[in-house]
Amino acid sequence: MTNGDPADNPPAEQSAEEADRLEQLLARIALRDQAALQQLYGLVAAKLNGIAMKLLNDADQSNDVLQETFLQIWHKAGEYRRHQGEPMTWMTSLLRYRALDKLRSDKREQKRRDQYGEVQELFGETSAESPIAGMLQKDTDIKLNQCLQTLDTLNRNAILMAYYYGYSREDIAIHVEQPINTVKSWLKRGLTRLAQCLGH
Amino acid sequence: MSGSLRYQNPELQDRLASNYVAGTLRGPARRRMETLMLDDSGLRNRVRQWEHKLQSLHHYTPELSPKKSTLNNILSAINGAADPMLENLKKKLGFYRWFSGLALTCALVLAVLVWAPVGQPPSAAINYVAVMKDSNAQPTMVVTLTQTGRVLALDMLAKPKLQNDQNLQLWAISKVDGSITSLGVIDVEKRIEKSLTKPQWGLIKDAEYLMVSVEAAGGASMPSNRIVSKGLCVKVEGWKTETG
Repeated sequence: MTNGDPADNPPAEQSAEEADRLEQLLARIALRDQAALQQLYGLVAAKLNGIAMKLLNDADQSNDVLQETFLQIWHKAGEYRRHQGEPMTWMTSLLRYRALDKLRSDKREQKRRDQYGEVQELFGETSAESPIAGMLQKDTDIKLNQCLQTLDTLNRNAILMAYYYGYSREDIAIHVEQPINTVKSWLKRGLTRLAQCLGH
Repeated sequence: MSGSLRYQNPELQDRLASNYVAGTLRGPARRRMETLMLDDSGLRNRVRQWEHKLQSLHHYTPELSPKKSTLNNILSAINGAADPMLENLKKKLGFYRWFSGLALTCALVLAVLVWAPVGQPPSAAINYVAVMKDSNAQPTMVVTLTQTGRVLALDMLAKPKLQNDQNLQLWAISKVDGSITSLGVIDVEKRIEKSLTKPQWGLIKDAEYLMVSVEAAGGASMPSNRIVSKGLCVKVEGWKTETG
């Protein structure tokens, strides 16, 4: 991994203008501008809620996490620094870590997991509307997705189940009916190769 | 190899960072990682790099409109937290600073108690307060802590003078074993607000005192002997108070 600033190479899907706009809104929020917070909400809340939904698979919980995340944004906007990361990456991370906290405290997690059909698409045919189909399409120009396609399928699926769907290592082991140490190896190997492919 | 040195290993740091971001570090391991990150800028940077690299995975994530009530809840919580009574209270501290430390402590705690149940929705109520004094027992800083959003707010009544290569650092002193744990470096500002992590909120709940010291730039793993402010961390709940 290099020691360069993450913001040197913004993700392909976020234009510089969009990022600039979000950064300006965060700067206004740091000055306690509620109108800016509402504008930011209008721009990113649906995307963030979609991300939370993938992790939690529960509409009430994803809205709770979204609410907590926006309160965190309100209080922490002054700490945001563009050179440390793009605005959307910063907000997504706040949201994901909140969602992971929520998953830990949810005792019904396994029950919901058993009913979660979309994950099964990782191991077979994907429907056209599935985000997995987008991630794994052959002609993608997103570097990360190109790298994911070079990974062994089980290594790749373990990473996606953890990062995208909020599975713990234990959940993954149960889902694929493999020992947890096997899952740990997949994750370790997959993340190492991903880092190499991404040029860390 | 000692624990702290072990975590300086770049390969281990990268593995921890990637697992933290992927979400496979859970429970105590995740909390340990968050504690390590507080004092290790290199580790924080690796985490940020992994966050950046994996962000593209959300390119195809479908948007999902939130409930209409979610934005209203956010605005209500924010406006509750900015209750003018609290702001007036803090302004008055400027006057009270000339009183004795004991008088100010009592005034603030009582004021918070009087204010908390009537002016604030429960979600935005202050849960802990620490009036911190210098070596002459003069109040120099006031810390209030709100569980909703785990917000720490620090008001500096008197700004300490620092050299360019120095920082202020906030610490929690445990009432259980007296251990001292960093809550991070703080800027010299009239008012600072920061959100605490879950482990940091745990330190507040366990704290007998909060303390601010002068450290070399970037902070230290243990406080120096230059303590500029220290005060009891008092729990405030409804009409009752108790320490820590």
